[in-house]
Amino acid sequence: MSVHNDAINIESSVLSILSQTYKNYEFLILDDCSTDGTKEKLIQLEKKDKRIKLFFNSTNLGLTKSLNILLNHSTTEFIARQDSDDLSLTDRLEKQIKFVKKFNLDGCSTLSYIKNSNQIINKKSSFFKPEYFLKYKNPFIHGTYFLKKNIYDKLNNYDERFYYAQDYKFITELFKRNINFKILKEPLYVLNLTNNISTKYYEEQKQFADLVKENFNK
Amino acid sequence: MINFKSSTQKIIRSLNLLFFKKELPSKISLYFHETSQVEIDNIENLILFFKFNGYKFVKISEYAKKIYSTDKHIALTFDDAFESWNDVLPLLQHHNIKATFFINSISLTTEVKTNYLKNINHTESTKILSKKVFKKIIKDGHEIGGHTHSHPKLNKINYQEFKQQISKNVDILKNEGVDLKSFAIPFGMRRFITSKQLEYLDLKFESICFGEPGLLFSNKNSYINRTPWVVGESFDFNLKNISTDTRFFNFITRRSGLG
Repeated sequence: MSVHNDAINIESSVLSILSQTYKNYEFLILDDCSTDGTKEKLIQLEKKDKRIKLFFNSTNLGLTKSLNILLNHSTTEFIARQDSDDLSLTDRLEKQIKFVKKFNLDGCSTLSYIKNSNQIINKKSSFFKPEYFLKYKNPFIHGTYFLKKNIYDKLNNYDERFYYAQDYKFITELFKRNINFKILKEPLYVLNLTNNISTKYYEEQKQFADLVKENFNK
Repeated sequence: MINFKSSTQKIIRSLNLLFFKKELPSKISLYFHETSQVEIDNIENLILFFKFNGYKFVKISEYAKKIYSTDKHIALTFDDAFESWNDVLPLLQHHNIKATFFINSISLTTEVKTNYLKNINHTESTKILSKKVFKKIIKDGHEIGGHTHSHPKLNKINYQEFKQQISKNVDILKNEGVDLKSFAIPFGMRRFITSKQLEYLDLKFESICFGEPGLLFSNKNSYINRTPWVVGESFDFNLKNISTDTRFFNFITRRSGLG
């Protein structure tokens, strides 16, 4: 997880991971040079749980580079993502691990609730082949990515030329290489759609997303 | 009769999902009975989920007082008397949540409990709430509500017996230092209580809880319609259940959170 100035949501997000029914993990959090008290909150949380490992950026690097820093620090077989303004339900990791092992996959994502509603996002697109949707948008939720570490190594982590839409770029690369990635069709995540990167920097993100699309459709 | 009821509820739910906005209602009250590990996991999910969505967890008396406000409130309630609640208490304490327990006072006496267990459809091996756990509930600051002495079908007993059921419930809990302000009807449904009995309860308690999803047609301020947590169903199923039932009830009674 990488976080920048999100003091309001950071605590519930971190606690949702600490309350997971699957307990055997390490939780790498990188503070991307926050100035609103997020850093102090993280230091408090680190004292509560030994599984939290904190890292700090001295300048604001953005999500893509920050995630790559964390990937370089991680040593486990599987890597799960979590966004600082979202929430994981307590059985998320357990179900994802079981799903990946059962069908011998390289990775999976899940469906998600939208914050403040009981609607489920990406439910309709999950009935079709993701390759079809990838031409137009990313049908997977970045915060629910759950992948083998060696896949990140194979793809050389996230493409740092993409300041935004790095998840879209990553997943298209993944499908070009025929990697076994599926959606676990159960809502195990709560997505915050107000005030996140995708709504705040919609235009910038769209430009990057268009680039990915062009690349993929070639 | 049961088939008719459940199919009616199914129709109401699907109509609800079709025609109403898919927002979560602002007032939610839930009830549980015995709590196995599955329920406890679900309760933790529920706490995280609703806290994240900006809900405040309240006791039933506070819930009843602010039933017309637009604040987001959710009340967790537990019915009857089960020892397994002991496993819920640390969770509630960890998240600093106050819940409400509607207790059958027979659990605090030395009376034979065979008939009581028959009343609540549980086997003889079920562990009934012990004094120790009861004290812990009070110590943790949760609210205690009435639920009759031994959970009979109230419409099947005469008025004298009914009054006894209530007064025993009140007196035994008073001896433990608890003043009952709210009451939950055994079996939850309006048809299990006569109008005369309901009038008596109206005078005695500040709020009365039913557990009749979407089918209670009365907008009396003190009546609270709770949604059952369906045991054995997924979190998602129950979440849908909560929003459709609550919304439909609020629509009928013109309460807030029509959504």
